[in-house]
Amino acid sequence: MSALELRESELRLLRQIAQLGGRALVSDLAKSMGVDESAVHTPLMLLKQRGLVTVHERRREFARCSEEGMMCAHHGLPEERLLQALEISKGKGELYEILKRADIKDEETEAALGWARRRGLINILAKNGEKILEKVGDIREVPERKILQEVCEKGLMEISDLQDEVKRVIEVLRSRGLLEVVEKYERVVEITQAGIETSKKAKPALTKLNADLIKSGAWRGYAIQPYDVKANPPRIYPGKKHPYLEFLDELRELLLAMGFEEEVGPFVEFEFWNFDALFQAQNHPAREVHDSFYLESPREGEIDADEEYIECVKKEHEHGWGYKWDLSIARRFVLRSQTTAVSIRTLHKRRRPPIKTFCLSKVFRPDVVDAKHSIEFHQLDGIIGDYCINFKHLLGTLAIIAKKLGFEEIRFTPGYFPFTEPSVEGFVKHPRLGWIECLGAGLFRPEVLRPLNIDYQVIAWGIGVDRLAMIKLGLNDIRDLHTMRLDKLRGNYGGR
Amino acid sequence: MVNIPDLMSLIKRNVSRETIIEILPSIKCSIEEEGDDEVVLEVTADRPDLFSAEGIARAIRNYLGIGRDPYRTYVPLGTSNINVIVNESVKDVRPFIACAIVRDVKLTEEAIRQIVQLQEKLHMSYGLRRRMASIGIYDLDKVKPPIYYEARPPSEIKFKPLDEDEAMDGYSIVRETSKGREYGWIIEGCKRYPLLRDSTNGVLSMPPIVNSEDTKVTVNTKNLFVDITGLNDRIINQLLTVIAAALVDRGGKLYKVKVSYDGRDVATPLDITKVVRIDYKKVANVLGVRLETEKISELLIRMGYDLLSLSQDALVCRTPPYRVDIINDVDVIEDVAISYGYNNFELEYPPVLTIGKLHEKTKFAKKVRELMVGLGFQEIYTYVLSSSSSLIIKPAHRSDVVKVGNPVSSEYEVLRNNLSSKLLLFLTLNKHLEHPQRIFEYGDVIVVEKGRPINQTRLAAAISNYEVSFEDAQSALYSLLRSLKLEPTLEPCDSELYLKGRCAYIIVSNKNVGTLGEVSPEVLERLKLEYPVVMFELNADDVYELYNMEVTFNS
Repeated sequence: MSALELRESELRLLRQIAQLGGRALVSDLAKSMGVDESAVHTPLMLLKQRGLVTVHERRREFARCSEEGMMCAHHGLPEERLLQALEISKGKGELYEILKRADIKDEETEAALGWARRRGLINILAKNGEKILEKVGDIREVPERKILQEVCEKGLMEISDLQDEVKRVIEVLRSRGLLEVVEKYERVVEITQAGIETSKKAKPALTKLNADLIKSGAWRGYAIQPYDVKANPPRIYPGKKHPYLEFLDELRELLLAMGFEEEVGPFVEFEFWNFDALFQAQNHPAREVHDSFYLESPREGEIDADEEYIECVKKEHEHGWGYKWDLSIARRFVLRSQTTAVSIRTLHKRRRPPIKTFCLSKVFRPDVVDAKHSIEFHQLDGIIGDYCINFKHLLGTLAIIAKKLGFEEIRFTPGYFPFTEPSVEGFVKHPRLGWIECLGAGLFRPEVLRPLNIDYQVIAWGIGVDRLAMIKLGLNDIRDLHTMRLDKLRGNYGGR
Repeated sequence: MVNIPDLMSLIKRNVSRETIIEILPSIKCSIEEEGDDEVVLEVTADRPDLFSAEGIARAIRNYLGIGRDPYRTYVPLGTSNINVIVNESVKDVRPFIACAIVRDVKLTEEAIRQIVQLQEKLHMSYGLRRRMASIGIYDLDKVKPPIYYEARPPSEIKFKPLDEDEAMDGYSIVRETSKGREYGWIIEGCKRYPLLRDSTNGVLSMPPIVNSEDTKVTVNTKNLFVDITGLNDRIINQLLTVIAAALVDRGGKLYKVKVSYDGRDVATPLDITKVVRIDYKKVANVLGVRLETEKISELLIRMGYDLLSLSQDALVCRTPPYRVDIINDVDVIEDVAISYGYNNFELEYPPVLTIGKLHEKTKFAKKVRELMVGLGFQEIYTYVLSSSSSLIIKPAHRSDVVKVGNPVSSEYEVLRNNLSSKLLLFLTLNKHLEHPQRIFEYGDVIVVEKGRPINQTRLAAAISNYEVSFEDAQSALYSLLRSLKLEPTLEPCDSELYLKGRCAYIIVSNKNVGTLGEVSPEVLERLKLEYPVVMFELNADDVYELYNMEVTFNS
C-alpha cells in the first residue's frame, strides 16, 4: 500500500507527531490531540506498518518506599535508633534493656545489631551470662536515611536518572525491604524520514464514496482506499419461494399442459361430499374415527346440494349396500380426507361433457406423526369424463403423468375404492427406490354417476403427492415438507 | 399373513413359489413382506374372501384353471338335522344369527391359525370391531343340539370362558377376562346378554365376547358348528359364506342349519349369489377392448364365476358363492379386466380436446407470492392443524375456532384461524438464527361463517431484527398493494397482539382487508422472542376481489 493512501485520521496523527518535534511519548501525543491513549493505538500501528513512524517501548524503573521504609524515614533506621539509645545509657548497657529503650521490634533486632556491627559502631560482650552492648563508633546519621527520606517525599523516584552511588544505596535499601522497585512501560513514537515526507505531501483517503463527494468533485482530494477483496462479506439471505410449494406449482403446470382445468374446494367438508356422494357406505370402516377427523364444533350444517340429488344418493346407498341411509350422518362436518370430494363437487356443478379437471390440495387423516406419516398431506385428483372414455384411457393418462414426472416405467394392479369400478393401483419405478405405490384410480361407479344423471363414463385418479415431493426434493422426513426451520429454507433444502 | 407351504398344499397342484408371488398382486393381494415361508399380504377391503390362505389359494387355483367345477364345491350339500332356536329376547340386544355345519374338516395348526386370522379380520373390518357382526366356531361333537340363541340376565349366565380356569358369571366375564375388557362395551349397557347354549344348558358362547372352553376347536376336531350373530342380517349372512368356503377348502362338507325365529324359519348359509347379465358392448365400452364371447366366458370362469347362458350380445353368469362385493355388472366387468390382466391393456391417451386452465385463486396466489419474494421475504409453509395455545390471536367467540373431535394430539387439535400466530411461532423456533428474518406465508385459514367453517386465504408477513420499525412492515405492504394497483391507507386500531398506538387496519377502497402493527413486548415476552417483530396479515380473498375489480374496470 502506498504511503499516499492514508485515511484522514491517520494523516492528522502523523502531522501531529511531526509538530511535536518528531518524537513523543504516545501518552503525550494523545493528550496533545485531546483524545484517549487507546484511540491512537490502531492508527499508530498502521503508520508503523507503513514505515512512517517507529514505536519503541521504554521500560522505566521507579523506587518507592515500603511500609517499613516509610517508618524508618521518619524515625530513623534501626541501627540509628540503637545508637541513640546507647548514648542515653552512657555508651554501655545490657542488650535487651537497650533494645527495649531503642523501641526496636523483634523482627528489626537482627538488622539493627547486624548493621550497627557492620558499620563498626558497637561491640557485644558476654559477661556473667548477660550480653552487654558497648558503643565503639559514632555517627549522627547513616547515608541511607537521606535517600529514604527523599523517596518518601517524592513518592516515586526514577532510578535510571540517578548517579551510580545513589543507585547502590537504593539497591541496599531494596534488599533491606525498605524500598520497592516498580516498573513502568511507556511507548515512544518517532517519525521516520518517509513519515516526514508523507506528512508534507499525502492526501487523505476515503473508505466510501458518496453522492456529495461526486457531485462536488471533492473526491479528487481523497485517495480511495482499496479493499481486501478476498475477505468474506457479511451474509445475506434472499427471499425465496417454499420449495415444496414450487414443486406443487410444477405439478399444476404439468396438468395445465395436458389440458386439465383446476378446481378448488373447502378443507371442511360435509360427510355427504366426502363419502356419501362417493357411494361410501355410512358404516364403511373409512368413516370410523381412526380414518377421518370429525369436528367437535361446529358439528354439522346444511348440505350445499339440491334435495333431489341427495334423495338419489340415498336411494343408491339403500339399494346397493342394503342399509337405512341417515341424512344426519351426511350433514356432519369432516376434514376432507380425499380430494375426490372436489371432483364429485365438480361433476355436480358441471355435468356436461367433456369434463377434464384436477384439484391439487390438502387432505387430512388421523395417523401417527413421524418421519413417514403425516396427518396433513397433499393429493392430486383428476377426472376426465366423456362418451368415448374408457379404462384404456385411464391407464394411458396415468402412464403419461408418470412419464412427465420422470418415471419411465409404470405398473398396474387391481385396487379397491368404493366409488370406482374397475379400480386400479399404480406403481412407478424409481431407479434407486424400486417400485413406488403412488396412484389410485378407476372409473366412477354407476351408483356415483346416476344421481347426477351422467350417462357417460368418468375416469378418476388420485396421486399421493408428498411421497413424490420427498423424492424430488431429496427429503427423508415427511415433516420437512412443512419445516419450521428457517436455516433449512435458507440453505439448500431439496437442492433448490 | 400366509404360509407358503400351506398355500401350496391348498392349491393342490405343484405350483412354484415364483408363480404364486407373481400372481398375488394381480388378484388384489399386494405383497408387503416376503419371508422364507411366511408372506405378509395386504388385501383390498372389498374382498373378505381373501383374508386368509384358503381364499387366496382358491383364487390362485381358479386363475390357473386348477380343479373342476369351482362353483359347486362351495354350495351346501344339504340341510343338517341340527336346529337353532332363536328366543325373541335377543331382539333388543343382538337380533340376528346365521349358522352352518361343516363336517369332516382336517385341521392343522396352520389351518387353525388361518381360520382365526380370517375370523379376526372379519371382526375388525365388516364386523366393526365385533359390534356389527361376530363369529363363533365350535366343536360340534361337544354340543348337544338343538341349540338355543337367547338373551339372559348376566347374573344367570355361568360358564368357563375360553382360556380361563373357572366358570364365571356374565358380569365377571365382561369385567375380568381380556376379551371382556376389549369388547364388553358392546353389551355392557344391556339388561340381558346374548347367549348361545345347547339342549343340556351347555354354553357355546356369549356373543360377541367369548366362546366357552368346553366347545373349543383343536387339531383333533372333525365336525364344526359355526355361528355369526349381529345387528345386520345381510352382513352376517355374507360373512358366513366367506367362513364356510374357507372351511370347505380345509376338506369340510358344508350343510345348512335351520334357524327358527318366532314364526319364521331360515336355512343358513343363505345363497347370496347374484345372477348378472353381461352385455358385450358394455364390456367394450368400459374396458376399451372388444373381446370374443368365448374369451369373456373363459376370463370369468378363471375368476370363479358360473356361466348360465350365452347369447349373441350378452352372457349370464352367477357370482361365486363367497363373493360379497358384487353389486352389479361393472363389478363383474372389473373381474374380466383383472382376469385379462391390467398390464395387458394398451395405453391410450383420451381423445378429448380441452384447454387447460389454472384456478383464478392459484394465479393470484402466484403473483402475490412472487411479489413477496421480490420484497425479500422467505416463504414458509405450516400446518393448518394447530394447537389451540399457539393461536395467540383470540377469536371473538370461542366457537369461532374450529375444533377437531378426534385429534391425534393436542398439537393438532384446532384448525388455524389466522396466519400471524404461525409466523410468530416460526420466529420463536428460529430466534437463534441470523437476523434480519423476513418471512411470509400465503395460505388458507378456517373461519366460521353462518355456522359453516369455510376456507379463507390469507397473506401474513413478519420482519424481525435487532431493531425494526412500523414503517418496515408498512413500506412492504404498500409496495405489495401498489404493485397490485391498489392504494392502501391505514386506520389506527387496537389489538392485543400489537402495541397500542402502533397498530392499524389496512383499508383499501373503504374495505378493511387486514391489520398491521408492531408486536407488543408482552406478546414477545410470552413467546420468549427477544427481537422485536413487525408484521401484517391480509385477507387475500378480499384483496383478490378488489384487484380483480381494478383490473376489469381498467381493461
